[in-house]
Amino acid sequence: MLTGQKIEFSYKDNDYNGIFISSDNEKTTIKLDNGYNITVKNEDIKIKNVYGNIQKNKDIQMKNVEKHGKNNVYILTTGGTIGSSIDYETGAVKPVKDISYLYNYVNNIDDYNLFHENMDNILSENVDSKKWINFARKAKEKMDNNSSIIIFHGTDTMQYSAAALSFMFEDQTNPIIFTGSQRSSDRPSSDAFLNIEGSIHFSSMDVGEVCIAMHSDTSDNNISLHRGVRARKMHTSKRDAFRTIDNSEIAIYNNGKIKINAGYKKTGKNNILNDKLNDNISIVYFYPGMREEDFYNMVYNKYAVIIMGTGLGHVSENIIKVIKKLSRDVYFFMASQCIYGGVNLNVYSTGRELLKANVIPLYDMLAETAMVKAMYLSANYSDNFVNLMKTNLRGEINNRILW
Amino acid sequence: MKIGLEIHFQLKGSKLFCSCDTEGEKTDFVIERKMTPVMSEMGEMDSAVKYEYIRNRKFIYHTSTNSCLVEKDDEPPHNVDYNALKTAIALSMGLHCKIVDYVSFMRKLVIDGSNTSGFQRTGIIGMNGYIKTSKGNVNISTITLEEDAARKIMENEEKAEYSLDRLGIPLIEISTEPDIINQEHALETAKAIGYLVMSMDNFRGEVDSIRQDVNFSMGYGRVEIKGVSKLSFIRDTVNYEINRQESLNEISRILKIKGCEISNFSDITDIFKNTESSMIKKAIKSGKSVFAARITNVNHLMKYNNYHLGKELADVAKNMGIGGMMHSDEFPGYGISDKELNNVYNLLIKGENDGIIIVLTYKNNIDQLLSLLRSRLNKIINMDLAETRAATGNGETRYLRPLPGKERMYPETDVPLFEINGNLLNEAREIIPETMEEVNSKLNNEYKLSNIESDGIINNNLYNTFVKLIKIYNEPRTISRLLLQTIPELNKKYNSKIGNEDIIKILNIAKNAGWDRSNIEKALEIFTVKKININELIKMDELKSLNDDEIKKIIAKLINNNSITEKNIIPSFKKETNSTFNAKKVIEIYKKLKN
Repeated sequence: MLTGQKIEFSYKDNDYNGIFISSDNEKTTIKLDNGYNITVKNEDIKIKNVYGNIQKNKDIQMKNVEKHGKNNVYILTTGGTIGSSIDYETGAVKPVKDISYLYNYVNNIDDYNLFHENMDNILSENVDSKKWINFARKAKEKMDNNSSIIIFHGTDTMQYSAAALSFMFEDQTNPIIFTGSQRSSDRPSSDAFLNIEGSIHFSSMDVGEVCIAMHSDTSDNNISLHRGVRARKMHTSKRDAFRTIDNSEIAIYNNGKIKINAGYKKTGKNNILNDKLNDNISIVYFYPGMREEDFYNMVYNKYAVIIMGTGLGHVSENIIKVIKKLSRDVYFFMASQCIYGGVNLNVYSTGRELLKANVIPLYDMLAETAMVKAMYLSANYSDNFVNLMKTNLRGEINNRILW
Repeated sequence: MKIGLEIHFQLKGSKLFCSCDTEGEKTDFVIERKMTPVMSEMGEMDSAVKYEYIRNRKFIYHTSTNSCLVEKDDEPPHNVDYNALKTAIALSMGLHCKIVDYVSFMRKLVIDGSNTSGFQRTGIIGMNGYIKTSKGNVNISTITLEEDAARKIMENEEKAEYSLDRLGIPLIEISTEPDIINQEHALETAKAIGYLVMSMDNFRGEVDSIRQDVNFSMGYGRVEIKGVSKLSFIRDTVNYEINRQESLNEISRILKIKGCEISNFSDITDIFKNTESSMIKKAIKSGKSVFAARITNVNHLMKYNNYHLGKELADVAKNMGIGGMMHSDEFPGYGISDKELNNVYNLLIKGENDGIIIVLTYKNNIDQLLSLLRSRLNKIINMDLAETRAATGNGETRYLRPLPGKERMYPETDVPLFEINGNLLNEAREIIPETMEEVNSKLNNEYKLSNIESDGIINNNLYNTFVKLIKIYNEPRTISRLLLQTIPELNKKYNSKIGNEDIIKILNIAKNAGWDRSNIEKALEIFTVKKININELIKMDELKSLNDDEIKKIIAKLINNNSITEKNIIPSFKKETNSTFNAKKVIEIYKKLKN
């Protein structure tokens, strides 16, 4: 039987009609005429009749977006919840082929010329440095044709991807905006629609940066534009999971209007892309009682390591000993597990020991951003690596934290 | 005539897909959401969903002490509540249904805002059962376990407000086939099912804990009437629907011959610049405009004798949040002057047989309203009356939305398939509810109660309590009297609410102390009045039972002083003591002493 075939069957002595959905060795799932699916054991069900014709999924109606707007926007889909729909056969989430229905409901859509290209269909945990390079090259190609870029991306690793593109683009002619959703777009309550609406409006700004646009709070009112290198997913499931850490968002979108909250880099004349990344960099999360050999195994032979230390940036004495042994060959940087606030290695003796062991404090740079930055700098500027790591390049270091 | 019922009832305890309690209070936090229509797995948009989106409102949700991120649609659902599932299985068994091997929860799209997710989670538990009635078996098509919707607080043109306290409460839906033959039979069926439902231990039992939907058809399409709150309204609602459909049938016949069209709306605000009509004045002041349209050949069909076409059209406007549609069968009225009316009629070129409707609304609503009115009028003329209607508080119905189709169902992938295994089935078997006849025969034969007593227990849904109490204090007549008389009277007299837990504690004391009925009644009264700790009751003088020696002393005294007979010994004895006593014993001792 094929999914969508009409069948007649009996279950525990009663007869029913339905549509075959799926089966495995143990059980069969059928959609009844009332719309409900039932799943039953194979031994309890007898298929009496199978009809030939398959109830085919109708093509989703798409609204024709007329190309008379003033702003070109290229939507690149890479996968994730925002670009997913339910696979009714397996019950799992699968990529959407046609995203046009997503922006059928966006306000002022006629001001924009929207284009779409599907780049990838992966869950964001499977994104790696090769993918970042692909995303960046595609974005450059479209920006060179005078389009702003919106990238649909899974939220789990969106901050890494946004940070990677931030560093790789040394200058850009248009904004690049990552957006996603925390509730899948198959449900009426999905945050995807407003996130897309906000992103499309942000895309007409003169922001020459790579940003993340997501809900500001749990209500469907405001969308925040976060600087890619300072944003972090801070909640597993809420709509407003993304926060700008230790700073304010660049802008807030509300009902067709954009309010600017902080300074930003303006768009430039050229798109300058350095598309080399070194992935021999790692993050190590310190914990009490961490064993020396475990730490050693994680950092040995790395080009650089971002340590997520406790509090102001600390690790235990035995780990400092290992760092001392390795720091002639491996660069060690310090970020904090606290997420908020900067590291400072001058306050406690442990910090001073770490400085003696050549550990370089990164103030309030986020550990994930620091890792991506090290990947970028070590591949492109290895001569001046440490110095540039400590220098603010894309707004990744706040020299002052205001609240 | 065909009638089917859908009976929904709430369970208490935990919500269906999170650990929040079913009971809670309002908190101050408010969130605001929008809903976007989505496609079903077949790539089609459900007509009911489309209709709601046309209204394009925003939704405000008030949080409560019993709501968490799950109700806010800010977290995926947790595992299904085991107790609720067990109850649904037990009830399905009680109604002779086939239990499914696995529960597959579905998402049923509802974008009227009553669910923060935009869908209701629901899964079939049992299929193909029946309930016995005097007119034969009424078949049960499905029994589903679902989450209740949020509670609507208010709505208007722009928004609807809901409280999250009710969202997610486990709801069991029992759907019958359209086997019910008339209004009385519907009532009987609802009662029989309702009895089973109410006898479940975790039935919530609050004011709105049972809601009935009535599916009705008399040949013009199926009408689904939502939310018939009281049993007696089932009959009223069906009667109302019969009248409505018969009257619409006559209207349709007339309009098919004469023809009927709605003109475009004209903005007639200028005519009312200096109006005396307070309603129109107020609307204009709030930025609304006055619009009128002509409908041909509906004069004296809008509201005249048994004709109520006006209401059918007003319902459409009302669903868009546009209240107070006026029409020519009601004029003169609403403080509109003759001059104003003439101006309106002239402007719209009203013919003798035409009707006029007037609405007060914002300009951007009017195109949408017109297209909805046109399609409604068409449906009526073609007598295609299938739709979803709402039951009103007075036994009437009003138009709600088109009937939903199966397009609005798709799998809930966040909740894994749940296998109903042998253990769960065995646990459910223990709590299968008994039918009214079974309970009646038990009360009469096993417990030897009179018909009046057993009816009282059944009608007041006290059977479960009765069985619980009998296990502690095995005197059926005493328990029956306590439940049917003593406790209701005390509650009424002292405006109190004696809980089952308290009764159980008092009966435990009674059993150990050898109290009889009068002691128990006295104990209940003292407990109600003085609100003391139940364990203190045993120490109170009034509740101490007199022993044989103490009884002898008092009787001896009475015999010496008065002419005491066997007839007046008890009242006389009562005057002599505050303590309780066993009356049989008193008479026994009196007889002994007398001789």
